[in-house]
Amino acid sequence: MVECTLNDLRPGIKARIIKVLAKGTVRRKLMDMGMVPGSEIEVVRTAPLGDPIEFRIKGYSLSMRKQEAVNIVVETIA
Amino acid sequence: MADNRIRVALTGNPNVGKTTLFNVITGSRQHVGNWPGVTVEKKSGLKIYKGYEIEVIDLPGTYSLTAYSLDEVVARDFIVDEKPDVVVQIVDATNIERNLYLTTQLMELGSKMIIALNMYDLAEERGDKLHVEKMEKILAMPVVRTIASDNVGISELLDTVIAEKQKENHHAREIGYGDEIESRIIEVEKVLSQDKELASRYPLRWLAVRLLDGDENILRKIAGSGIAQEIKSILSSLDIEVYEALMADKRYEIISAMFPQMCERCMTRMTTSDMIDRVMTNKYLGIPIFLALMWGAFELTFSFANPFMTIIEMIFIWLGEMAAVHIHPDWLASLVGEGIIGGVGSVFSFIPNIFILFFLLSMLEDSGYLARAAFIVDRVMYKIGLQGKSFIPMLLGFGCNVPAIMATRSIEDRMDRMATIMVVPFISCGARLPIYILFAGTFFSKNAGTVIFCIYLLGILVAVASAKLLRTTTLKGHPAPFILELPPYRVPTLKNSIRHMWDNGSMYIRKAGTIILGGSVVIWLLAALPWGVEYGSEVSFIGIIGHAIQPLLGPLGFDWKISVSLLFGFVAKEIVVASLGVLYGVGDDHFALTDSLLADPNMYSITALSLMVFSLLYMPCVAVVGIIKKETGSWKWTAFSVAYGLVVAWLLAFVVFQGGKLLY
Amino acid sequence: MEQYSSRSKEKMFFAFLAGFLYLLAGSIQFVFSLSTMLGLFPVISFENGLIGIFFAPSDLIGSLILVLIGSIFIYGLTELRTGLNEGIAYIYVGILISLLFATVYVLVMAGNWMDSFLLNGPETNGWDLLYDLRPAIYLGILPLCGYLIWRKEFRAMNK
Ligand SMILES: Nc1nc2c(ncn2[C@@H]2O[C@H](COP(=O)(O)OP(=O)(O)OP(=O)(O)O)[C@@H](O)[C@H]2O)c(=O)[nH]1
Ligand SMILES: [Mg+2]
Repeated sequence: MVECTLNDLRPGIKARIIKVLAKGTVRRKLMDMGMVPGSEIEVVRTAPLGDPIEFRIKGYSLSMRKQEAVNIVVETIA
Repeated sequence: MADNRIRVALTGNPNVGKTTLFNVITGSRQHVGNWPGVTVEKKSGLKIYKGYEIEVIDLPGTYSLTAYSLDEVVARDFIVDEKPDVVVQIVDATNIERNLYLTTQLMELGSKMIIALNMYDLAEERGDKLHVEKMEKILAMPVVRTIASDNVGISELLDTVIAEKQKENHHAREIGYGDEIESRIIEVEKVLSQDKELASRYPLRWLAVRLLDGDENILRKIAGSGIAQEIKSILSSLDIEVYEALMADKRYEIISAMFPQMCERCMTRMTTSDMIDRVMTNKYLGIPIFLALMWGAFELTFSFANPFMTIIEMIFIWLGEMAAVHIHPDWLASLVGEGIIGGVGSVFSFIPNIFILFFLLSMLEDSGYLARAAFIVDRVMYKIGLQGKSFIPMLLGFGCNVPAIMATRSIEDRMDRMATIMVVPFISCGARLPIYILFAGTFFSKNAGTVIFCIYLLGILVAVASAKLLRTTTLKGHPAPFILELPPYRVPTLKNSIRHMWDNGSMYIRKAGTIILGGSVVIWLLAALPWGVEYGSEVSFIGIIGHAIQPLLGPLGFDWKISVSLLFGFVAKEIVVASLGVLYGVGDDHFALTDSLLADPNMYSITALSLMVFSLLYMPCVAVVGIIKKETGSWKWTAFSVAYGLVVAWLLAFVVFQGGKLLY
Repeated sequence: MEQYSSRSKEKMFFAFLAGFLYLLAGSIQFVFSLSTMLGLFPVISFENGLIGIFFAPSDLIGSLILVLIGSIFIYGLTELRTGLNEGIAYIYVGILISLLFATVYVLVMAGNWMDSFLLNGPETNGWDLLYDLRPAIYLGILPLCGYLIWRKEFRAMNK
C-alpha cells in the first residue's frame, strides 16, 4: 500500500481515498459526487490529450483534471 | 388548496430520466438527452388522473441540496422553498449508491417522498438483483419501479403519489451523525428555535444540519433573522470543513451499510460502454474519430438534403408561376409572387437541411458521445480559458444558439459561463445555413461543400480566439475546475431523434410562416412604395434605406440590395435570403434566385465569400440578443456582444473582400 | 490471456483483413485525390480501368476516414495479439464506425440519385453511379458480415 495523490496513478489501478485536500466549493462538490474518505476509486483512462482523467467511483464514471486530482490523497489497493 | 390538487416535484441526479418521466406523465415534449444538464429550468405540466389534478414539476438534475450552478439552484430552491405536496426522487437503478446521497438529504427535509427506481430495464439487463421491498423498509418510503422510456410503471407511480398525499402526518426521517456532531446540531437547533417564523417554514434539525454542512444559501436565508449573529458566532468557532467532511462521510457510510441489502450483484463490470470508450477516447484514435464523426454529420446535412430541396424549390417555382398568371391586379400578383412566395419560398427550401441537422444533433445527444466530446476537448478548451463543459453549448449552437446559451446554466463558474455565452453566437446555427447554401452553391458550385466547411471552421476559430481574448482581458481569472459525469452510451432511439428533429424543425417552419412571412411582406412594401415607383428600384423606400447604409458596407463589397438584406437579417438570419428573394423577384419568372444572383454584375465569388463571413459573425438574431440579456442579466454585456460581433464581422469580411480583390 | 480461443483467432483474422483493406483503399484514394487536386494526374472513373472505377472519386477527407477505420481494426489486432482481450472493443467499434460511414455514403448516393431523377427524369444522365459509389460503401460489406456474425456476442457484453 502506497500513499500518493490521485493524479499519480496509472490507468487500471484501484485505490482508496484517504483525504480530500481541496477547499471550498470544489471540495464539497467532490464529496457530493462520492469522493469521501474510504471510497474505492479506479483510474479508468486519461483523455487523448493527456488531461482530464476518467475515474470510476461508486459505480459511475467521473472525469476531472489533474489539477483537481492532485488534491485527493489515496492509497493503492493491491 | 383543493383536496384533489396535488403538486408533485420530480427531482434526482442529472441524467436519471426525470424529463423522460415528466414527458410520459404529462404528455409533454420537453428536451431529453443522454448527458447531465439537459434540463436547466423548471417546467410544469398537468395530469388528470383518477379524479385528481396532478401538477407535475420537472426540475434540473442535482447531486445534492448544495447548489453550485444556476440550474442546481433552481432545483434546490423549488424543493426547499416551494414545498411540493410530494417529492418524487428518480433514482437511476444502475447507480443506486450515489443517487441515495441526495435521498439522505431529501429525507431530512421532511417532505413526503417517493422513489421512482428508473432505468429498471438496464439494471435487469445487467443482471442486478434489486430488492424493492427491502429498500422500502430501509428507507421508510414507497419505491416504485419504472422504465420511463418504455412507459412502464407510470400508473403505479401515480397511484402511490395519491396514496402518499392522503397520508396524514409525516415526520422528517433523521440520520444520526454521531455524538459530537449531534450535540452541535442540538446547540444550533436551540438557537434557531427562538425564531418562530423560521421554525414554521423549515424543519429546524434540517436547518441546523445544513448550517453545519457549510451551506451558504441557508446562511443567507437566515441572515435577516434576529438570531443570525448568534449562529454565525457558533459556526465561526467550528472548523466547518471538518464537519462537512464528517457529515458527507456519515451519509455515505449509512448508504454503504444499506446498499448491500437492497441490491445483490450490483457491482461494476466491464460493460459495453467501457468497451466503446476504450476506442472513442483512445490516445491516438480519439481525436481523429471525433473529427470524422463531425465531418460525417456535416456531409450528410448538406448532401442528403438535395432532392428534398429540389422538390420544395419546384413547388415554389410552380406556385410563383401560378401567382403570376392567375392573380389580378398586378400589384397583388407581385405581392404574392415576389413578396410572399419569393421570400418565404427561398427560406423554405432549406428546411430539409435543418431537419437533418437536428436529427443528427439528437443522435449525438442521445448516444452519450456529447459528454465524451467534452472530455476529449477539455484540454484544448482549458488552453483558451474555457472548459470541457463549455463545449456542450457550443455544439448545441450548431442547431440554434438560443438553447445553446441556455445550456450554459450548468457551468458553475460565472466567468466561464459569461465567456461561453459571448462566444456561442459565433457558432453557425441552422438559420445561417440557407445563406451559405445559396451563395456557396451559386458561386462555388463544385467546391461548395469545402467552402461551407471552412465557414463553419471560421466560426469555431473566431469563437476560440474570442474566448482567449475575453479570458485574458475582462474575464480574467483561472479556469474553473472541470468535474463531469460521463453517462453510459446508449443506442439512440429513432423515435426520440425524429421527435427532436420535428420539434426543432417545425420551429423553423413556423418561423417561416410568421416572422419571415411578415418580413417578406414588409420588404415587398418598402420595395413597391412610394406608389408608382419601379419595383425594387433605387427610388423606392428600400432603395433609399439601402443607399443610406451602403457606404458602411461598401468596403466589404456589398451593394445596396445586400446591405439592406443584412440590415433586416437582424430580425432573423433567414431574412437575408428571404429579402434577396423578394428583391431579386424570384416568383416573377422561371429562374431561381441562383440565376438572378449570377446575372447580377455586382456579384462575384469574392463578394459571396465576404457576405458569408459577415453573415456568420454578426449578431445572429433578435432572439439571441434577448436570451443573452436574460442569461447575463446585463445590458452592458448584451450591447458588448452585439457590437463585438459587428466589429469582428466587418473586419474579417473586409479582409476577405479586399484581400481577394488584390489577389485577382 | 496466453492462449487465444478459436473465437478470438477468427476475430484477429477479421481485424487483419478489414484493417488491411481499409488502409489499402484509403491510401490509394488519398494519393489519387491529392494528385487530382493538385492536377498531377487526374484519375477519372472509366478512363483508368478498374482502379479508376474503384477509387476514382476524388475525396480527400473520405480517404482519411478509410485510413482511420483501417487503423482502428489494426489497433485492435495488435491489442489482441498482445493478449489483451479488450482488443475486441476495437473490432466492435471499428465495425460500428465503418457501418456508420457506409450508411452516410449510401444516403448521399441515394440523395444524389433522387435529385438527378427529379431534375432530369428517369434517364439518369446527370448522375454517375461510379462517382457516388465510394469505397466506404463496398468495403462496408465486410464489417456488415462481421456485425451479423457477432451481433449476439456484442450485445451480451453487457451482462
Ligand atoms: N433504458 C432506459 N433509458 C432511459 C430510461 N429513462 C430515461 N432514459 C434515457 O436516459 C437519458 C436521460 O433522460 P432525461 O429524461 O433527459 O434525464 P434527466 O434526468 O431529465 O436529465 P437532466 O435534465 O440532464 O438532469 C435519455 O437518453 C433517456 O432516453 C429508462 O427507464 N430506461
Ligand atoms: Mg431533464
